[in-house]
Amino acid sequence: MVESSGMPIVPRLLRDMSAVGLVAVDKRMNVVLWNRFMEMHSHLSAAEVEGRNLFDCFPELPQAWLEKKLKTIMLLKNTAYSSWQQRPYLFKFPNVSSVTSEAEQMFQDGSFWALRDESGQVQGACISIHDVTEFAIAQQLLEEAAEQTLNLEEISYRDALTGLYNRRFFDEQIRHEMQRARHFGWDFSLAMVDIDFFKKVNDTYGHDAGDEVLKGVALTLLKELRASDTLCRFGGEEFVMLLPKVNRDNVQEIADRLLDSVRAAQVDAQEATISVTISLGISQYREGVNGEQLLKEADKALYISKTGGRDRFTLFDPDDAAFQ
Amino acid sequence: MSNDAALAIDALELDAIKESFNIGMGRAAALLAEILEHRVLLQVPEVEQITDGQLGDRFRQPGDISLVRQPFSGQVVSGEVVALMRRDAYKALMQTYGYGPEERSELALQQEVLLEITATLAAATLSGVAEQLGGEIDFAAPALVCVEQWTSLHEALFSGRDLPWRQAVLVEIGFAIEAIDFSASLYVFIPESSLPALKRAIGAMLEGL
Repeated sequence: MVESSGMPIVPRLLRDMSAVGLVAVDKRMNVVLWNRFMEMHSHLSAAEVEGRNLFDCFPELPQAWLEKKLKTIMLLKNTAYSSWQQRPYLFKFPNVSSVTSEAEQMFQDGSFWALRDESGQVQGACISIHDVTEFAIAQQLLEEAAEQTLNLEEISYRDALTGLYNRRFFDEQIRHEMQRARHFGWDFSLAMVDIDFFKKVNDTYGHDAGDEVLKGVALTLLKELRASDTLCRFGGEEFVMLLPKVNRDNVQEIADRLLDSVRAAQVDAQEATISVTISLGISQYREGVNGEQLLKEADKALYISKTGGRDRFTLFDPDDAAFQ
Repeated sequence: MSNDAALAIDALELDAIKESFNIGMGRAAALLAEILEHRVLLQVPEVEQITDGQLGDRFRQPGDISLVRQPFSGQVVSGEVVALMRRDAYKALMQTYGYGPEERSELALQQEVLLEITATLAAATLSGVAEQLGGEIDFAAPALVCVEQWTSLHEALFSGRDLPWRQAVLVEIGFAIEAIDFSASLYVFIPESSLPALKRAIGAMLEGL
């Protein structure tokens, strides 16, 4: 048993300390000090723990590792540490902020040093336990946020200019739409959209004006679409849209509406007001047709719209020789 | 500059530092054998005075290595220890440090054992040295230094930082435990802010001889 003589108020202070956990053991690992912090978080009083073997009281402690650690510091008389980053906790205590925080356990940093008597002889070991839960959670959130930022940069699904989804997103989305169409027996239309004479807009008004037109058309199309539709910028002046549950009949209404809206819209670009038209090529999902094929069919239909005079839509027809 | 002169370590002082380490390490070997349960070979320490400009050349090797740093401080000597080990050094040590078989595959605990061995080597070596110099030291928590395979030791430890020192005493000590195929190099950096106290301690020690 370790006695501290001289100033009885000092051990009293350490005993009453509730901000930091203090545990002292003798060389046989019997607990000689169990302070207020430890009492509060373990719900075991000093009277229940002191005098008993530490590992009998807390069988879940990593005994082999901790005994090695304590024996090492008793030999070397140095201060040793454990960090929540490698070992989240030493004593399995509940997180005190159990109401407002999602962590179940208290994260702990520990330090370990030799307990010496007046003559400097090592009599045992001390452990301090610091509750670092708040810090650990903040750190983990930071790390998660940093990871998410990286992910977003890496797999961004947005086109920087228009804010629409990009081709990468389209490639994933069309797979999902095909699955749903197959599974639920839904209709599903795909439309390719191209701005007519876009090169002329660029040449006449400059590329900045061209960018404004792209944004303006994107916005006009978006306004006409439902939340379940997907509009992507496919590249250049080309857009593609996925229209779930839209069949051959109602896609024509939609296409007409899109043509009208774009024709009526005026884009303020630089010092000019620009109006453009679009052409559409539309294909329909059928059993046994894959995404790539649907795109090709829409592209063929778009070609017919373009050669047929623009500002119009064309529905792909698998039985029509014009599309072969 | 007079300031530099106050920091310069002459040949006699370097010898005295070396001797303190030699004696300290004799004691360390016995302690380490008891803790690590095997005979530990210690190389004669190399002591030199370096400037920050020499670090790039001195620590050029890139490496498939693990690095741990740990600050220490005391009345006569303060600084930082850097331990360099093979990247898979944890394998040799986990059993010795009381990790159960299922714990040995956990990355966090593989890292922890590297902190443990660094703390052990540093404490065993430096407390003996401090005692020789007439003082005590203690340690702050050790930390892993992130080393990518393509970066040199110098980049991992120092680059991108405006170091608060221009001169330092550097002591290099080699450790090996043949029985478990473990080896480590311990670099003890004593920066210029700590050199006046060190010089005073050496002076006192030399006078006492």
